[in-house]
Amino acid sequence: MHDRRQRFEAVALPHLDAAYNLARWLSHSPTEADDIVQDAMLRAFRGFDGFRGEQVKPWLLAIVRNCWRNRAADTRRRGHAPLPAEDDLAFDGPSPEAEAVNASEGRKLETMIAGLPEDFRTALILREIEDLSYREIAEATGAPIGTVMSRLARARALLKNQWSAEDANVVR
Amino acid sequence: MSCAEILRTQAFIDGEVVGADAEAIERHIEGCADCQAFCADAAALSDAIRTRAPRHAAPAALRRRVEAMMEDEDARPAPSPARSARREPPSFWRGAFSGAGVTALAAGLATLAFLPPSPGTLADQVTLAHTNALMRGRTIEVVSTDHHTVKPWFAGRLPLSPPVADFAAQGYQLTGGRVDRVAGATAAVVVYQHGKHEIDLYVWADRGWALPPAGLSRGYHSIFWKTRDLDFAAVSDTAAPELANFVDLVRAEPE
Repeated sequence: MHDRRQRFEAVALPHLDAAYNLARWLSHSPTEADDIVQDAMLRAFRGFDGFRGEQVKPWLLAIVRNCWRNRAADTRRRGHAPLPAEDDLAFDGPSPEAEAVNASEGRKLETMIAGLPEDFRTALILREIEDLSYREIAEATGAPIGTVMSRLARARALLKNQWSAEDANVVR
Repeated sequence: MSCAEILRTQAFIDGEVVGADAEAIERHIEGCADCQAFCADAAALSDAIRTRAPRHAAPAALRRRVEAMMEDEDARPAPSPARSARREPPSFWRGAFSGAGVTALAAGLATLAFLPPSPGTLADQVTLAHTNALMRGRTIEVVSTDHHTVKPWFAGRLPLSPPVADFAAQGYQLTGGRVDRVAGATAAVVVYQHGKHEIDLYVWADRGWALPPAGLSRGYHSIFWKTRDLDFAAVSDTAAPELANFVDLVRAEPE
């Protein structure tokens, strides 16, 4: 009787980190990300028997993104549109790895990525951090592959410009 | 970035293009300053994200709540079919790949390959990645002959842990490692030196790809094999028996 659960644990649960990572980059907030992922996992679990696709990861990430959108729409209806809190943009805690690199540089890059339009940001995060193929990103975001490609190119160009501007400021 | 080929160039560096198409794009990049600049910027950005932007891991408490949720759900009476249909997540993702938009795109991008690589193209891809790294003069991102340095370096960058060992005594000196892409997959590359020849050991998480037999492509030998959850490819311009010898050493190492 727990067949669904076993299968879910085997094929969907390994992507919990990916789901949480996307939720963090979407919401900029650890508490929001928690709620989004919990909601998404519940929906995914309930809908799992109806899942006929091959790739679980993009399917799950699509649900995460959808949950985030629903919440964002609710928030707008209620009348607040909170900006990301400064604290929420901070690192979880310094890993030895993070300490080794220049933390302020990392923070700067993170803030720049966080400032990208959502479509661009999601495409970039899924490509660079989650290592998804164009096809998987298209599935996760419900966009055609061509759109994914142009979003990625735009995201890269925007970040490059900001990064160069920052460098110029430092030099000055 | 005004070059009209920029999206194809991007698809190339993202590992989405294989075989003859990849070679055509490579030739274009060689003669296009815009695309070269784009590649350099994208590579720098990719490095920066990999080393500086965090991949947030799900907190243990969240994991426990998800597990408790599954238990609760399992304990509930089986839903009636109508109810379960209503409870399914939105199905937009199912249609995402079947619309007219995709067909039009597929026509526009007919030369790009988005499917899992065939064994033949995979052999090409690994050789390409290897020669690209050699051409860029950037085969090593962490320089070290000590596997105690190289292994943790990968741990901070990749969700997989490649076997790293030194075979200097047998003539295969560990020299470092880098992160590279093969057919869209991120691969750990452990770099060895054998005489005058560099040997790149590519390791990526199993994606269910069929692996090619050992072979020769553009003057480079490659040998592929699988373990439980990792795929391996050793590539070098050293002689085939030397490479086979190296592969035997790697495979004899306990994981």
